[in-house]
Amino acid sequence: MTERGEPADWVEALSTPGPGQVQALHLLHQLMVRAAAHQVWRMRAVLPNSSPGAVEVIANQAADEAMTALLAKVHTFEGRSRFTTWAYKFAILQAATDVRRVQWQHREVELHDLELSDPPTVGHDSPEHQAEASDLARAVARAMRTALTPHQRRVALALLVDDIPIDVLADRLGTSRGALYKTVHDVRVRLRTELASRGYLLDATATVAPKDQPILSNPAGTP
Amino acid sequence: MNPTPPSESGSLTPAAIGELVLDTTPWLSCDECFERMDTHVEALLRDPGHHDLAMDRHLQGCAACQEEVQSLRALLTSEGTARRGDHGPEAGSADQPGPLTR
Repeated sequence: MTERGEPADWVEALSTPGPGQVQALHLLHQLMVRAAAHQVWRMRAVLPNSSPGAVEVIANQAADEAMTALLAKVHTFEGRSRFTTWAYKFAILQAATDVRRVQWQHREVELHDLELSDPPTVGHDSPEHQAEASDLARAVARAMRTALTPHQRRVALALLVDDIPIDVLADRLGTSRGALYKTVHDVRVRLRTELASRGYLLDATATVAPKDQPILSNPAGTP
Repeated sequence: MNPTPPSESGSLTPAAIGELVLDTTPWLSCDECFERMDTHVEALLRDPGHHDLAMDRHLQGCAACQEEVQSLRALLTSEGTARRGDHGPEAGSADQPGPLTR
């Protein structure tokens, strides 16, 4: 046992039947509740009911699910971080996912394609910047139509334009966060390549400028 | 069911364009991000200048993973503060929940 009353070897304690295992499981559950509560509390503003009681219910359910997930993988712990840090991430992931699910449970998720009539949205003060932003928005819309598949466009619009949480969209589409992120990554690579070929980015690997600055390499635009 | 909030839906705002053309190379999956999250956050706490290009790019491009990494960092920071004997944020403040009964 450590000074904090934790097992010196968590994996052994959790894997060896006996009183030590029971105690380790109890301590682990406390850790999971702590981390889940921390996460739900951070995100409570998006909950339809953010009362302490509602937060506690979500945190406890997330802690239970996270503990099950952790115990299924406990043999994979390699000791590259503290065990408690490793354990916390399971609870944080589960709690964050649960909060997003509750946040969207009564909201419909609609996948839509880019509307041909979508006007570029600009908000720049000077006419020059406004023209640049409008030109870039048209170029991005054009690239989305020519370089992306309909599925890629719908996923990109849902996640990056409409700000639907990735876990929520994955749940509604019956897929995973990882699969959707791969789609988004491919979208970004295709758009950057397309825009670079048309002179809107210095090259496909160029770092994007801060959002309040134009990223055009050719402000006049290349049709 | 309530519809998706209609405001700004589908609009290519400058922020949305920034997200669409973000450079997320080198590729790192959400699963791999989760695998590295614990060691990455501990490295950041030891050295705030710690740099992992693949993790940094992934976290810029994945809001969910970014929130979870930031949360883990905040949790470890609050634990470190508490262990050093500081009182830290009061229970019920922005990042710290009140005690749970279970």
